[in-house]
Amino acid sequence: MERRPLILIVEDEKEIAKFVDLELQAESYDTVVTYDGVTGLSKFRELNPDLVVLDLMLPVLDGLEVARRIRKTSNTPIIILTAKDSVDDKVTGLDSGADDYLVKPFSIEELLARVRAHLRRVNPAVTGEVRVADLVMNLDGREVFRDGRRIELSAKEFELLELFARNPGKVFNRFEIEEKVWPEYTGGSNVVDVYVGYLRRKLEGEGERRLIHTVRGVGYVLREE
Amino acid sequence: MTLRLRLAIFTSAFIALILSAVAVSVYLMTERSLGAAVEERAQQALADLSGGAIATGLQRLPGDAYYQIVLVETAPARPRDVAGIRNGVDYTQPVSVRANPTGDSLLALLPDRALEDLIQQDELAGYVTLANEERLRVLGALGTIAFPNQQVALTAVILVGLPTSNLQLTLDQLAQDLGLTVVVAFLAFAFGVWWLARQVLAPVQRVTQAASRVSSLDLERRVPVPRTDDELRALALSINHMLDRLQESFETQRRFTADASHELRTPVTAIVGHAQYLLRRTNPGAEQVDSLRVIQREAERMAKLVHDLLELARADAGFQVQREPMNLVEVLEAVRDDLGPLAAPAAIAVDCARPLLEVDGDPSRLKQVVLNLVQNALDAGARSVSLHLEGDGKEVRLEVLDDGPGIPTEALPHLFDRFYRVDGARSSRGNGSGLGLAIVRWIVQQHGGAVDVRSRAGEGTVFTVTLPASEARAAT
Repeated sequence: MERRPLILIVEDEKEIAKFVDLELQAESYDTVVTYDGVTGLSKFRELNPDLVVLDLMLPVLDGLEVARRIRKTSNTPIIILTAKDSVDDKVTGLDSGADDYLVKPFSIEELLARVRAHLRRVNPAVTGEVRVADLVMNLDGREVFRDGRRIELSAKEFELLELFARNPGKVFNRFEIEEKVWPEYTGGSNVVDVYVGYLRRKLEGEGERRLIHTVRGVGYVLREE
Repeated sequence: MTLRLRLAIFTSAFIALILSAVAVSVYLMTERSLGAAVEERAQQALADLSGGAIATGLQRLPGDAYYQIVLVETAPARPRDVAGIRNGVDYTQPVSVRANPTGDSLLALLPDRALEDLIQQDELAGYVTLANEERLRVLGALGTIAFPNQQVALTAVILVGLPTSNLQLTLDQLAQDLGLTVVVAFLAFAFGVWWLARQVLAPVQRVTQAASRVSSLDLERRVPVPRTDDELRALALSINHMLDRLQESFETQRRFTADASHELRTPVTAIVGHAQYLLRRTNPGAEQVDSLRVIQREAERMAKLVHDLLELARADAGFQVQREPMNLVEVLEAVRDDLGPLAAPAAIAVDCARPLLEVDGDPSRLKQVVLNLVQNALDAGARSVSLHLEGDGKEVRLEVLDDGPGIPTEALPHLFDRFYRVDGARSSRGNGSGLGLAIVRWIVQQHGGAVDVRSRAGEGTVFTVTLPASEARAAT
């Protein structure tokens, strides 16, 4: 039998750690719970878990520092839980090496979905997933990763990217795209160009290589160059 | 009226009053002293003529003087009536050393009243105007003229006239000069005061401008403190001191709200998590399920309240939303898709002719705006909510129309106040915190837009949100 994924929970709020632990166990993961940053880090080194659920405000060693130290030696997905939700906090969290970020109060389904998505990314699953170059689209969870970085897309952006990702190398003209993604509207707007712009901004936000290319006079294509 | 204008007007008026008074008194004093000089010369001439020898008197007469001597009767008889005097023998011509240039008879020109004075008091004083318009001061006396050579003294009316036209000319010139001086001095003074007032009030103006730039969102600013050791420095210092206190209390309040919200999140997360765990992973009995659902629902409501409070704490702290070009149509569709299933059988419809209406905005916060407006309509009991979106190159207009019970007119002005509830604080309908619309307004204002509401009881409510169209693509 395949080994059950091991998840390390580092959370000083015992009541929260408790139900996260219970839920993860109910989803058939093995779990280890620690209540401070230093213990969390040493448990990580000792057990080498498949994923870490990390609170930001921890005694002894704070969550950001834990994430930074884990990231020095390992690519293990880290999901941060925090009560802070300002943009700066998010950026700091992700810069420290965390892969994802959930703000309290979070819904447990959301956490479980993210855990599934990140584990799948590490252990390529079979179904419901499209991969092109370093782009991973999880069609069931409607999640998109580029090089491990989770990217939030709106519904239409996701549909458009899905159209491209399912047909890499195929050139679509604007009319085709409009018909498929915006069937309820008649053509004549520049919605496709605008949305390609949105997608590029989000997919290449960290200086990654271009994925969606313009084919002059025809339309757009997704391919690796 | 500005202080500067008032200062200039009042001081100028005051100075004008003083200048005018000085000018008038100068005029009057000059008039008096000039008049006295003429009078004195006339007296002297009269005394010369009537006192001693006529020839000597005539020689000493001033060059510009007129005279007339009329023998009335031999002494000691006296004429008893005016006509008697008028009909006396005019002795002027034979002995005249200097003819009256106009040949006018002073006696003829004098009014009867003056002659009656002469009869009663032996002297007269008056003015006459000659044919050539020259005005004379005339003094006269009933006296004796002596001819020492002939050893004769005769009774006569002696009249001496001195022209006052020169005097009048001088006075007119003086009046003109004084008037001009007063006007020029007044204008110069008014201008000076206006300028001075500006100089004096400029620091006040600077303090005012600086103070008005300080708002609840920008308490960092301070009023510039002038280096001079004066009242303005004291004013600036005390304003700054007040701002320090104000900022401190704002900061305390803001930090309290933020800390309280953060601290509340952790227990709320635990409550919701555990309730969900029990509901999802265990097999509670029907009564327990009911109870757990209450716990979950109320905890979620509390979570929403905490979220809203934190959002408003951010607003108070001057937090700025991050904006990027985005499609508002999709926001409406997302709200419809999120709330639609929960709202059934109430219907949510999106009405927009185009697939794309761009604004520069924060997608999740603008979604919050639409969510709050739609949720409010549903909570109020609307059966259908219609989201109407249209835009031109300049702005995008979102209307949220519902067929709910409407909002009473008296409630409309308070609608966007925090914790305001249309049907009173104890209302159990809906699970709103009373913060939703305050947040809507804050978010919309952060986007440079405006939100407005119209409502008619029994018919429904329309919320209108206008946002500036995306600058990047305003041309398309």
